[in-house]
Amino acid sequence: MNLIEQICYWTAALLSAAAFFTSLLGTVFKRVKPFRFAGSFLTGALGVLTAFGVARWVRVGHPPFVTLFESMITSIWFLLLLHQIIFRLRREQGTVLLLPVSAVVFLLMGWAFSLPAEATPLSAALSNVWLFIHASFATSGAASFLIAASLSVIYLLGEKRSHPPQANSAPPETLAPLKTILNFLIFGLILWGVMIASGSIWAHVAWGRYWAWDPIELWSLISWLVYALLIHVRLTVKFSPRWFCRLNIIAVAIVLFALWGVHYVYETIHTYG
Amino acid sequence: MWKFLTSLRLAIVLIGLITILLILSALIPQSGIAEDRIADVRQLLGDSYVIVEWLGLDRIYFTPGFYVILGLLAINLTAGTIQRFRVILTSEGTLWRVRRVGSLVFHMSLLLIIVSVIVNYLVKFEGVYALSEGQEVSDAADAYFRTFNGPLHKSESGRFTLRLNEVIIDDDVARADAVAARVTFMPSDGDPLVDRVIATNHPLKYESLEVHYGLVNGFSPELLVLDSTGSRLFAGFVRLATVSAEGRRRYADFIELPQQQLTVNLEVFPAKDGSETPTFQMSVERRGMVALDTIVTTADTVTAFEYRFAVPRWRRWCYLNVVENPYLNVVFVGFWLALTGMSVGLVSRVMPAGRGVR
Repeated sequence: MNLIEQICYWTAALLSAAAFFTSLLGTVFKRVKPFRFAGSFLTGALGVLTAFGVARWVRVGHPPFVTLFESMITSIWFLLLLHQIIFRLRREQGTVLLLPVSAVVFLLMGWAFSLPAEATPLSAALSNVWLFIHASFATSGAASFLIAASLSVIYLLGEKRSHPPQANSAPPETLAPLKTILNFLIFGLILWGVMIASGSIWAHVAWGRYWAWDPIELWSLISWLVYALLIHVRLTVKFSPRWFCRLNIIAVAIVLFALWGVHYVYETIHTYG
Repeated sequence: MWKFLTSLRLAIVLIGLITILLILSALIPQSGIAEDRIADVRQLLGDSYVIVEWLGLDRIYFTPGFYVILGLLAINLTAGTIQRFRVILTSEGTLWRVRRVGSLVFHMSLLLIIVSVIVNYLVKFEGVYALSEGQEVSDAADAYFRTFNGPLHKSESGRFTLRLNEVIIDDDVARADAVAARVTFMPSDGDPLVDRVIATNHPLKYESLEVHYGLVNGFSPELLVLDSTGSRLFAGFVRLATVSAEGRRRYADFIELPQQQLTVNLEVFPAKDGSETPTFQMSVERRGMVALDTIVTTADTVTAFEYRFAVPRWRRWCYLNVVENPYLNVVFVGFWLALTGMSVGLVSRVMPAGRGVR
């Protein structure tokens, strides 16, 4: 990272930490004002991270998708962007999402910091337009699943608080409607599906094989199937919302493993950088 | 029966089974795919590994059970598609109908993907050439290093001749895929020959055939072994295996001469700029005793035990993959149709009920 990137990275990390602590204060003391600050902090983090991405893109000559560090930062950017859209369109839901989203952003920034941050030139396999489609849909898909998981956490916490029913506690469905969670799952499933499809086409162009049962391909397909299963079960069997939310949180762990964890366990042709 | 075949509960069970099998295949190394990890798991499980083999868990994608589940899913999708079509025809409300159309397109596309993947598997051809520079081969079956013919693939030969002119390796870049190959493709039907460089992402296409650079490459030195009287015991180009270690490629292998009980280990050290002659590390063993371990050039002849060894010439070699997937584009069309269907479904879900409703 050069100086501009370092400044942007650390500013974004600090802003996400500030958003986390202020939204935590707001939650604990049941005050609205800290949430307003938290919202501004996360908006600032998105702006600074955008500057980081642009600066890095200009410096290295390709979008920041290539290394594991860049993939994580891009996912954080998409997560912040999605949150920002929700925050603008549905203020109440955007506000309750501040705590989990800022926590996830802060944790991912920390994880990214532990990774090598040097930019690398594109290898022969990565020098393809499909990289941009494949990687951008992978990172945005993960962001959508993270939003759905965050809403599930809110639903579960809200349900716990309102059980037994109290006069002053909002029902969990108000803050994190199951329909919204389901919509984010379907949205994530589409993005993740584009990622798998574009990766397959790219692999065919690059090496002449469109599916090789590589660990990342396999875990991506497993994640996609798990979500497909979850959506079908929710739409059909109508099993308990609590279990739907719990399984949603487990499913996002599989997505994160497919995206960033497989490298730690398996040897894979999906090299970052 | 119809209700059972169209039921979403059946779909859930089948998707669940496929997911479980895929998770198992991710945990248990699959034969033919993750061969290098099989020995570790076999050692870990000991005698219990027999159960894994007996259940076919080490080759899940090739077990009849896996295909039965996929087949059932295809039947379920077909029946569900017909059912959805009926529902669309009878349903009220534009928005509801749009959502159903999205769902129909998505599930029909999944069916298209499954069917086209299976058809493609049945008719596809994959062949790997292991060629040294200057080598010319035809597409006869025995010219390939390895082939896979789909069960319904019509074997044709004599369609082309392929010549590997040059393997282009950038040794300063410590990446296994920073390689290209200059090839000449000569069609037998009188079409003009094609002379071009192929590399990762840049295959050569001819009708339904594609020639891809095969990722594996290395050095092929000519090893000469003479006995004390000067008679040739061995003379031939040896294809050295390529391994990546610590960010660098290593080209090393050994050759055994059973009659003389000799093992000759060779490793190549490429010249920095790629244009100069490389040097070779040669060691010679007999019954575990090392008699020689030295650096040689193409000008040297070295002696070990009562034999003389030389590496007078060298070439590069690489794999070239020839693939023929005639229906692959149908799979890809299926991908995009499925995603379009899902997107239509999602848009109709988030659209306010007042808009577009009849």
